[in-house]
Amino acid sequence: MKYLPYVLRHLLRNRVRTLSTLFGMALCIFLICTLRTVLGAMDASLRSARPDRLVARHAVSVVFPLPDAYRSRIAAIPGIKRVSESIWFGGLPGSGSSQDFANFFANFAVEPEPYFAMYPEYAVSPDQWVAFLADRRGAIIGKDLADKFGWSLGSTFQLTSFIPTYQTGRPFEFVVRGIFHPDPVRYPGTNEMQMLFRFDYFAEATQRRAGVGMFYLQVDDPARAAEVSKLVDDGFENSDVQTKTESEAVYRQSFTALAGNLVLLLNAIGLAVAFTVLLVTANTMSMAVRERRTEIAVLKTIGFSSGRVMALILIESAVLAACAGGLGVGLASVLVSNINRIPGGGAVGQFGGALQLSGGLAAGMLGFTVLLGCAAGMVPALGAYKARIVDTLRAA
Amino acid sequence: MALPFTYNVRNLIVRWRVTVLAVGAIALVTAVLVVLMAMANGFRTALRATGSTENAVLTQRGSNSELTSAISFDNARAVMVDDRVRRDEVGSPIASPEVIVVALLPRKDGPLVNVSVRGVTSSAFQVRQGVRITAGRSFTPGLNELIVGVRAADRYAGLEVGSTVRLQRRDWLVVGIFEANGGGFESELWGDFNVLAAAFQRRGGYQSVTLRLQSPENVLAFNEQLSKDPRMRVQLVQERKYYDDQSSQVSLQLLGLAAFVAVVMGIGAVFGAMNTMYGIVAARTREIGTLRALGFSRWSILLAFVIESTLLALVGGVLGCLLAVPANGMSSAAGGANFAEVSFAFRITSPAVITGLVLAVSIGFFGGLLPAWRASMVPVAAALRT
Repeated sequence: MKYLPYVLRHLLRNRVRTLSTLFGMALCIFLICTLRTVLGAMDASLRSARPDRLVARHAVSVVFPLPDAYRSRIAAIPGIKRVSESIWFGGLPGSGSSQDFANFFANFAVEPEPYFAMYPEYAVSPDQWVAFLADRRGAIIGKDLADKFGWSLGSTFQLTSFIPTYQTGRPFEFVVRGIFHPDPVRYPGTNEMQMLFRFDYFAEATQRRAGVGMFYLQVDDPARAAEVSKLVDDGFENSDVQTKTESEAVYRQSFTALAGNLVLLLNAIGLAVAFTVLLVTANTMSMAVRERRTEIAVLKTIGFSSGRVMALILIESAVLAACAGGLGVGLASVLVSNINRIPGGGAVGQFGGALQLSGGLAAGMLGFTVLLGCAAGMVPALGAYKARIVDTLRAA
Repeated sequence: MALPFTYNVRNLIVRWRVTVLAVGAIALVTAVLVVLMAMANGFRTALRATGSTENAVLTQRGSNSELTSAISFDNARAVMVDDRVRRDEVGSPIASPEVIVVALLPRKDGPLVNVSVRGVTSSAFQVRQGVRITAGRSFTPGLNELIVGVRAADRYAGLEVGSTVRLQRRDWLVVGIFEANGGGFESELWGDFNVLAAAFQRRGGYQSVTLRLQSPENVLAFNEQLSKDPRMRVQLVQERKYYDDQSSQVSLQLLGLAAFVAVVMGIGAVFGAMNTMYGIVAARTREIGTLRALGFSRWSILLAFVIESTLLALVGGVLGCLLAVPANGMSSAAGGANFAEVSFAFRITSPAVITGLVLAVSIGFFGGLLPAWRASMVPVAAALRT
């Protein structure tokens, strides 16, 4: 610790160089953090899935509806605790004529009682719940969504679906009756950029022509989930419309898999960026050391061991990296927590997970940056370690 | 008087050890940008090559993908017999009614993914002249046979000629492989319209009809007239525009990502370049003093260092483009409009390379500006004394 002032003094000696290295590194760390957060959100959407929840949908594709009549047949299957009809509504704010995809958010019609019983993460306070049950146009929305549009309890808004079958000639009207904001520790990765509304309202407005998009199922025993989903699919094997029932995690994965090799690409970019940080820092450190060769020789002359001189340089590099890491992580957390306010930023959230810079990631990135700093300082530090006093003093 | 250009080149060569790290950083930044642009480009090309400017696609009014569209036989027939649709030698309209479904197939690397399956009639090959069978033969109408696009055959397991695929409780024999000028159809499976429509319960209408028009430029007027007809619930769009629109969201997202990454990394690299140049300037203070004493003006010193920095960055940029080259032709896939995968090849095009080089050169230019300014401000006497 007593060498810290010495290290800091050195860093402040050439402010321009220190600052430009700091900013260069910070920007790269910021980039890696942001990319990792997006990847994390994709993962989180899978982590928030629970093993006792299943999704049954049309065997060919989610875009085709299942008949209403399937509800009672599914509910009668032994091992099934709850069933909720659901529709991915595809509603866009406003009248829908302009197809305003920039403001897109996920909205689902669900059956209130069974659905909220199987998804406790979307629970609202008892008085909000009563108000929701009392109002057919009621909607329950996530806190992030409420913040984005400035909606509060009682706000009204309109949505029009971009799917022709769900269009009724005029927009659907909704009233905010509940806002959910679950405990992030208990329910990690909950997507708060979505809206849930009542299936009966949807079914009546479309005169039950639209069918059911998918059935959410809850099983008594998660261990028997695979068995139960096979029972469901077998039951409709010889019907006109077959179902495909899978666990919630697998169902969600089929959407993130659509993002293709993006995950691989983002990881590759992260690696390239990290390597850039290494190069930039290594450059700075070798310049800094070259500049004070005489000084290093003097340190050694007055009795500093080679190891200590080397450690001083490594510490200097690590301190610089730690500052840059802190700045980068800070920048990233500011961007990530405001992403829904940025035009088009909502597209990032469409993968379903909540975007959140986790403490673990932040700490990990800081550690990683310090490690990078040490690695970058290694070559010049070794040079200083090996330097012979006589040669260095003479050269200067 | 300006310093000779060879002075800059020689400086970089003599002091290559100092510059190699900065060049490496700029090369990586350029490589990342070029690869991302190649990806966006490949996706757009795949869908663009799908559509021809001579054809028009008829879908349900308001639908945004073929999968969610449904057209009644009446509506489709009324449009197909219109005078504005071109006819073949025997006088029947050149029009391809189609049905699109999605099937889950295993990718070669494991996961089950959605793949488009298109039911077509023989006129599909008349309308889309780019489609050619490259192995095996075409399907026989009335039988459970499929032909497979080259990209699909490449990407999904068990789609070789002669193998069978199980869809909708039936076995389908793969009888041929086809190419479609690199377009999105190459990610699809094609079979007979009637057989597929029956197997997937898509009877009672078409999902899309692709038409060859007499005069393709009149497609807007034709659509205008259709939209005014109360019996018609259809829309007509030029085929190329139709597939372009479908790709625009995904390719815009990819380009957005490319821009974000490039800007952030680019600014980071500017700081890196600045650092290197400051180091170079500091190491050469005496030399600069000498040059000034010889009579070179402040401006020529400034110019010389900016040129040097730009040159250094250009080397990095070229290196970065070379680094990106192996990505060319790499195969990837992204979600298309039908909730199905569209696979495509990364395409490094000249605009991508030029953008990469421009980025590199700007990094060098802006990174070199301040250090060059400092160099030009060096007091002659003091510099000579160091």
